[in-house]
Amino acid sequence: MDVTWVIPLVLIILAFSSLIMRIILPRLIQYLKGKGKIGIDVHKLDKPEVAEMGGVGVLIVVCISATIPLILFDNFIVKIQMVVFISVIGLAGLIGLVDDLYRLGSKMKPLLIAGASFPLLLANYFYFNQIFNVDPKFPLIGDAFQITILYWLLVPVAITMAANAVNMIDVVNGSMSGPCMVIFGTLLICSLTKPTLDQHAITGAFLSAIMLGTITVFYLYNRYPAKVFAGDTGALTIGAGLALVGIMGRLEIVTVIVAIPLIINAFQLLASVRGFIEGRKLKSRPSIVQSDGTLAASTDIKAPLTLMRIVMAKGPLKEHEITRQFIILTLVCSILAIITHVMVEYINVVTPP
Amino acid sequence: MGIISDIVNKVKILLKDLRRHLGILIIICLIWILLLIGFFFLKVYVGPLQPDTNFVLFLTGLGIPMSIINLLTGMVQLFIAAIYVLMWLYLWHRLIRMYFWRTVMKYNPPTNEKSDEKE
Repeated sequence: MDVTWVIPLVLIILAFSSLIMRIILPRLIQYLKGKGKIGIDVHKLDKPEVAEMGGVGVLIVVCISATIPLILFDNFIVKIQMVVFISVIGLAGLIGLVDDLYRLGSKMKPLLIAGASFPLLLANYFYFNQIFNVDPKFPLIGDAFQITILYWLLVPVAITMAANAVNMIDVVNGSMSGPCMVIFGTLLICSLTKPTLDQHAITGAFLSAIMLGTITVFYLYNRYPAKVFAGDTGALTIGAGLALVGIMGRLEIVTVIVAIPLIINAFQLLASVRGFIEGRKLKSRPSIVQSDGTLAASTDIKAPLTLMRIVMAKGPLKEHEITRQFIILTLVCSILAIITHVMVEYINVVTPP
Repeated sequence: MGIISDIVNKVKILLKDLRRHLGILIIICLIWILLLIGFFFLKVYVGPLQPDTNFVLFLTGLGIPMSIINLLTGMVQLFIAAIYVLMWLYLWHRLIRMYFWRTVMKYNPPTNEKSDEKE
């Protein structure tokens, strides 16, 4: 199977991951409810019970879908990249699962997620920098700027940051799955519009398609009023997937730009509480549930400054309106990311030495 | 007609939401532009930075190998890049905080009657 089959295969992956998720998720919701894995949706006045740990479905579907390019696409490095993807995602998802079941400490979790990047680093070492390129492409200057050694150190940091950033934005119904859907859609467009469909572009397209298909169906069940929560399993799986698309798809800068709403949320939250802290240990909450069911921003100076609080600065919003604001901000960042992608791939104002 | 009015309504909601977040969107565009300027600055001015020839001769005269001098040069470049990144993050942090508190004070600030349990 050669490069001409990439787009049909991307469409097959999209359809397959959506279909499998559509089959698995309703059954998983019933199973989780039967097992008593339910959480209270605290942002609603009637406090309904919703199935938790729906992210297990995301983890399973993503791993199954990654086997399609592994079997059908005839390129050894792409096959290895798929195996690495399944390994890293699997480890990140397992860490999330353990956190959902037993609660890991706020400092232990980032360390374990950083450790999940080990298969990626190991594979790149054994396959001589073919799994990811240690010299990323920058806008306007191309790959003229080399950060070879630093890149190896940044890989675990990037996976940890992405996983935690996705986890931190999962605050209301669909607030994580909605923006992530836009992010992976943008990354898919950027992968397929590279001037040459090299192995990084192909891997980026396959991984984006796997994530997009899975998250789109998950969003339908996670949006307001939610039938399922992702839990840490889902958030860490999606976050690790985001970092892997950026790293193995050679879309590092584009990923950073499109994920700006997630970065704003995580960065402001960490700066407010000065470090990693468990959400339930926060002394002051960023939002207030009002008597009419709307959510308002807390004016407590000690409350962490999250993206949800920022979008509610002009007045209270309903839960689904908050998710819509998140998606709109991500869509604007998506446009900026596509402009950046054009600058990275097509405009080079500095001639490399 | 129903579909067209539906689309018009959705576009109106989208424009209303964009107007609502004009402040955040301006900040996002600003930090995006500063990021691009940063890459350009690092490539054009920091990347080619090399120590003065006489200084290199002086150091090699002291018995310091060229590999150490190259490593030190790389560390200086990394230090300048790190300072730029920190300045960029600090500006981003301040702008968002300033936007939030100004907006909250301008529009009716809600009362802290009850904190929610999630997040």
